[in-house]
Amino acid sequence: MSKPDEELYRRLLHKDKDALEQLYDKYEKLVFSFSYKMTNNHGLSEEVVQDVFMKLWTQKGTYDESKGKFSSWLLTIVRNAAIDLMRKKKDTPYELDERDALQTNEPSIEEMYESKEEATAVRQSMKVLKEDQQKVIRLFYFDAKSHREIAEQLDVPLGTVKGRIRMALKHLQTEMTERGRGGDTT
Amino acid sequence: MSDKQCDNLIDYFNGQLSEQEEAQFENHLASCESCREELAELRELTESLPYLSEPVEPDSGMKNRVLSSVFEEEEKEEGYDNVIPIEEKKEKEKPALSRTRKRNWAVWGLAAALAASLVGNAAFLNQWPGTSTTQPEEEVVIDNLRQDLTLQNPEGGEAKGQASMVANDGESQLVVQAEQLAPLSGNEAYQVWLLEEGDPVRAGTFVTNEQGSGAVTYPMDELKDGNWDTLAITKEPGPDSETPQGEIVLAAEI
Ligand SMILES: [Zn+2]
Repeated sequence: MSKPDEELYRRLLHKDKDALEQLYDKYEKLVFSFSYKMTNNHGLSEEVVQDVFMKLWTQKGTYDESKGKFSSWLLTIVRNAAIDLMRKKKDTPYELDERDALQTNEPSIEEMYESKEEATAVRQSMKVLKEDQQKVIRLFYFDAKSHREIAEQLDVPLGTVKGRIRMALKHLQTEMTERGRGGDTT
Repeated sequence: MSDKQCDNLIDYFNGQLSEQEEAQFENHLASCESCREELAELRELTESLPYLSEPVEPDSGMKNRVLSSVFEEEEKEEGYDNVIPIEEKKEKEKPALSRTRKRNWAVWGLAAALAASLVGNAAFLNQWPGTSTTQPEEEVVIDNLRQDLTLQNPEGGEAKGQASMVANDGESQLVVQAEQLAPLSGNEAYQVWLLEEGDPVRAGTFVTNEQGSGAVTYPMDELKDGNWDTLAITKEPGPDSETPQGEIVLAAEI
């Protein structure tokens, strides 16, 4: 139904507004939800979405097809934009707890994203992980904490943090591969 | 491996380094293969993690806000001051519009000011940044907006447009937007006219973007209270025509 992302991206280079709109429609939900997962704030999340599509449109970031999926590249930009904004807003008072904000119903979660299988696989795999490994992933990836903060929150020596992160992620990947969706599938 | 810099990998990945530290680490990356490999591995291993995010509903109208401001930025960069890009598709939940035709434009502004919440929609206003300079926290201003005329080519064709009246703090503005217009060349411009029994008065000039869309806002104060019966857009050889020289491309009866 929808054109492959790579083709839409090429059309973006020629300032094709329709291409941007198609990418927007395809990724709005994922980009917004991911931003929210990181910032825990509606306003900030919308700023992230705005930032990301502005970057796409003005070509501040360049996607290189040889380096992997468009979606992975896009999500990296999203994560970096969220990190930037969170740092900027750190000092300004901001209602930073919206845990019970509008979240859609559990059963349809995977339906909301394009890559349903990937979403299902990663969710199921995450559940298999022990609580402390889930925590490592959350602190490292979603909270984007510093090396030192991660060590403090896990109450482990600085020198072991990298190893723990790697172990947790590897474990998650192994679980995913067993479900037929490795991290590097296309 | 023994390099102290290698310990910065996590902080680099998480955007925790100062600009200077970041530059230093990037230098280090160029020479440290193990850091490059670890970084590539981290990226690969985290690729699917965003899908763990629980779906969250954005505030309504986000698409419109985001795309409008993205495209607006673009126009700014290209240096068109009074040309505002129009979104191809309007928001789905367009507010119910009053289809009542007013006799003339003079009462239109007044009626618009009174017609609170007819088109009370901030997102809509956002499409015309020129009109939203008052960027209201006070929602009242937004309410004083009214969309009324649908513009078409009398001969038929793809081109279409809309004309609206916006009242901000007692100042009325005519907002005209059009899309799918034929491309302009050289000095050509589209010119908006208000006509009273065939007598035209200029009411704004605009040029189109690549998609053939364009828009203009024009202060109604500059237009004496006429009994306008028609709004028309013509394609002119230049932006300064005192009377219409070109064919009418879009028009509507008032
Ligand atoms: Zn290194």
